[in-house]
Amino acid sequence: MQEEIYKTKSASIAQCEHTDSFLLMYDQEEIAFKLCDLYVFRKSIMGFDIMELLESSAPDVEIVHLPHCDRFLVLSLREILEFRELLNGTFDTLALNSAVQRILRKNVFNF
Amino acid sequence: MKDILRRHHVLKDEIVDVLNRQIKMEAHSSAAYLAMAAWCDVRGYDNSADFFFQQSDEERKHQMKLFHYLCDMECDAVSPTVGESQHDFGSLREVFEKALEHEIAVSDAIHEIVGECRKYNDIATEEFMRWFVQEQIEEEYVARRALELFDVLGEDKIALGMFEERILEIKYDEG
Repeated sequence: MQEEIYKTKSASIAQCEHTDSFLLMYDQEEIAFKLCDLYVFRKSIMGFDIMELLESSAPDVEIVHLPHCDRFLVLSLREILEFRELLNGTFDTLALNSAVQRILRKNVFNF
Repeated sequence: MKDILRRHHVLKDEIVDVLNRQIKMEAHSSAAYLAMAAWCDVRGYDNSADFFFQQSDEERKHQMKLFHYLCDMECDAVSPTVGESQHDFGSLREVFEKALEHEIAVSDAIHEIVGECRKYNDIATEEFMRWFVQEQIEEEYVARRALELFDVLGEDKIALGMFEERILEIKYDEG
């Protein structure tokens, strides 16, 4: 069973309850991430210096390696910003879900 | 919705960051003590060298304890890069002065982690850090006691010989 967590204009992330993993849907492809891999991906995306990219005269694409599946994403500045929004939205939603579940867990032992 | 975040990433990002910073600090301490051991060793202060070799091993153990904790919590443990250590010292006393400064800095960092745990209500990590708090009390005591030996004995050749005889006997006794 998949639950969509966050969606932007051209990408979305869903969580797969069966495999405890996350599915990135982007550019008509699906890439699976374990939580630790999603953290690595977020670190890569957040690591770009946007101001530096804006001021650079080099072509405005960056290559992101996804070591867990040995794939590469070639992202424009606009796509990097979109991925930032996607990942921030995803992790904020996950944190919100954790907070809700923590409240619900209190009712597990409903003596 | 299943709480995958809680199942697989037990600690908050802020706690992971401070623990990784501490791993780096312990690795740097281990390297710094190794440099101190080398300085003592080549100048014939064999027991002081042994003292710092042991200290270096201790710091490495602290580093690994933190490292394993992060791994056990399914968090990102970062193997640190270690910068240059100080290799030149003016005297044996200066080496021990630096050691005490080092221990005080480590204690401060440990206390800050406990503060962060309290800020984020991370009871488990705070409990885990309790061992480090106690350990730093001992480490600081030993470093301070070593410096006090210089105050008592002086720094001439005979005094340094007596210091060498006593340095490995300094132990923290809680009682």
